[in-house]
Amino acid sequence: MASPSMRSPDQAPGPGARGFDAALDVIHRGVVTIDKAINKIIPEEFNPFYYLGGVTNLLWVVTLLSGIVIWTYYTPSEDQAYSSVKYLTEVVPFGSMFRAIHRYAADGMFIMAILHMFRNYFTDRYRGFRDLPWVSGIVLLLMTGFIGLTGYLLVWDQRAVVITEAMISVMKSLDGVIAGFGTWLARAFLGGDAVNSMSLPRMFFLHASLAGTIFFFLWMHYIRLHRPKIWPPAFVTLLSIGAVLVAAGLSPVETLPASNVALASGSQLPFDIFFLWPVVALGSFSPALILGVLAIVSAVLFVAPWLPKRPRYANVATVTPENCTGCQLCAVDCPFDAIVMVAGANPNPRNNELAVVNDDKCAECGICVGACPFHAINLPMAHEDAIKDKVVALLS
Amino acid sequence: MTATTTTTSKTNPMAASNKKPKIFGFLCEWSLGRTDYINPDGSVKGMEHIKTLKIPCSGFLKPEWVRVALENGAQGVFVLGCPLGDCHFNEGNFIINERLEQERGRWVRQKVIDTEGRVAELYLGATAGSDFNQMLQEFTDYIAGLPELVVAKKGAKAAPATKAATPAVAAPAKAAAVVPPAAAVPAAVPAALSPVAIPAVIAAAPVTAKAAAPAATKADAGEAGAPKKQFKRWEPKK
Repeated sequence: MASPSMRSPDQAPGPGARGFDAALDVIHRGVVTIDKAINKIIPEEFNPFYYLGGVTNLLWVVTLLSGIVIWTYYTPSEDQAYSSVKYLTEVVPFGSMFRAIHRYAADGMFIMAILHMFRNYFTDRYRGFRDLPWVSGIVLLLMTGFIGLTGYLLVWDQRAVVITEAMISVMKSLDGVIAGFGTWLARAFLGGDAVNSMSLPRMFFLHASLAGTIFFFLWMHYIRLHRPKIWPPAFVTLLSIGAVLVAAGLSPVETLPASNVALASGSQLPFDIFFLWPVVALGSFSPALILGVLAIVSAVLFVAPWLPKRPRYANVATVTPENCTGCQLCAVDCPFDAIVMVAGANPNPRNNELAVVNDDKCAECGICVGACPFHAINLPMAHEDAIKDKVVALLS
Repeated sequence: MTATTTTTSKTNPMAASNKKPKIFGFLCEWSLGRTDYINPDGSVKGMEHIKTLKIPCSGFLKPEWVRVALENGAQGVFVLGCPLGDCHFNEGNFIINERLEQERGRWVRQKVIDTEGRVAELYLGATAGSDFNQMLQEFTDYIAGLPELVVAKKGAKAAPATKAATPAVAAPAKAAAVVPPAAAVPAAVPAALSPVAIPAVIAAAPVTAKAAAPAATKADAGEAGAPKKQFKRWEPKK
């Protein structure tokens, strides 16, 4: 026992933790050390590391808006895609700027999403009541990676051809798992056995429709939070957008030769490390290996909240209906939207509403206990009377 | 001082001697509560006059527990949470920050405490051990410079189980419980002006302390470094 704690030993973090939790605790301290260094420069309320998810969302919206601008000039067809992008880059005012913003905001979004994931893993904010946000976040990360990859196809330059060949080879390697499945997938992707007039519209559909689906998973990502930090504070917002603009100004988007121009070797092409690493890796490894590694990493990430599981439901907030006045203070303060006010359920008819706790959403933090002036809600393992007795005992 | 009143303020004898004032802390389990700066009996290592209790989140703190601690002899109470913006439960430290901002004013108006600085907030991450010790040292010095605080217990011990514990309602009877003895009120303050009628800005305790021993108070404050600003929220040294 470390010190008087109101929780069961297997739940309390800190010196009492053993095994996996102890290792996570060591990394947690490392993360907090980085925070502390940043807090010495920036006030803690504006620390960008406290708003990694908000920055990700901000850059996603920047990507979306710049993508809509690009889309108004884009023609998804095999013979006109390259020339429409070239027109946007060279003729349209700020056209190359919009392309650069679209690319670097997407890169930044991916970096921030990865940092957001690691930070939430290492600070133990990924399991228990946070399993749904974690799993939907992994889906969002995989979708972001795939949407970014398909974005490079749409330009339909030399690099797009190399990426298409790489994707087809990876898809066809699936024939080894289920006979014919890989070929079917490759045909569905291209709209035929080889690149034809149907290929570019399909690639564009993959890019844009999946981008719309992100909102569905974002909704799942936020649904367990009462007031999700969707937007970072103004300082961090300006810092993020400024970084994207500086990157776009310093390093404009390159124009590569068109797909029908013969090129000496594909290795001369620049590849985006964040979205095109599988294509680069294909130069050294087999498609099956890359797919296998991706599948295993994704599977581990998906089941991470249950490896090992955090004990739940032992300390869920409990309402004493006789004391509840239906004042809604606990429901308003709950950061996880776990308390609903049920009309007509209060044993005292004058009070009408009764606070009811949703066990699955409850984080067992007890913020509702601090909110309730009427002694109507309590954590069973840290009852307020027990706390008072402990305070008195410690001070005597 | 007379024994007839339940509450009284006088010059702190502890400041003169080496005895440290009793301080109580509520620690968030996820910030420094994770670490081993705390003895098994709940006191802070190296500062045994500070007793602590771990709670699941700083937002879990019911403000009335601060009052319970003050009633039981604590001269100062602090709440430790994660750095603002980094609460494990997203909002707990912002919520307790707002609650305490409200409650401090109420306690001063109800004359539970003489100055808002007696209830402090610390927001520290799990590695901020040196900041923690330094802040607690400053807090101890600050509290030692204040006159001793004795808070009347609110009725019987079982009473808080009812609605009466709501601190928002300052019933005259409750306020009267912390009235300084009539003899101690200086002549400058009209006797007819009962503490209930005193505007909120006039804190009772400094007045009585001055009345009891003005010279001694000044001397004490000078020795303790005369805390000018009210330490409500501690910031780590930049």
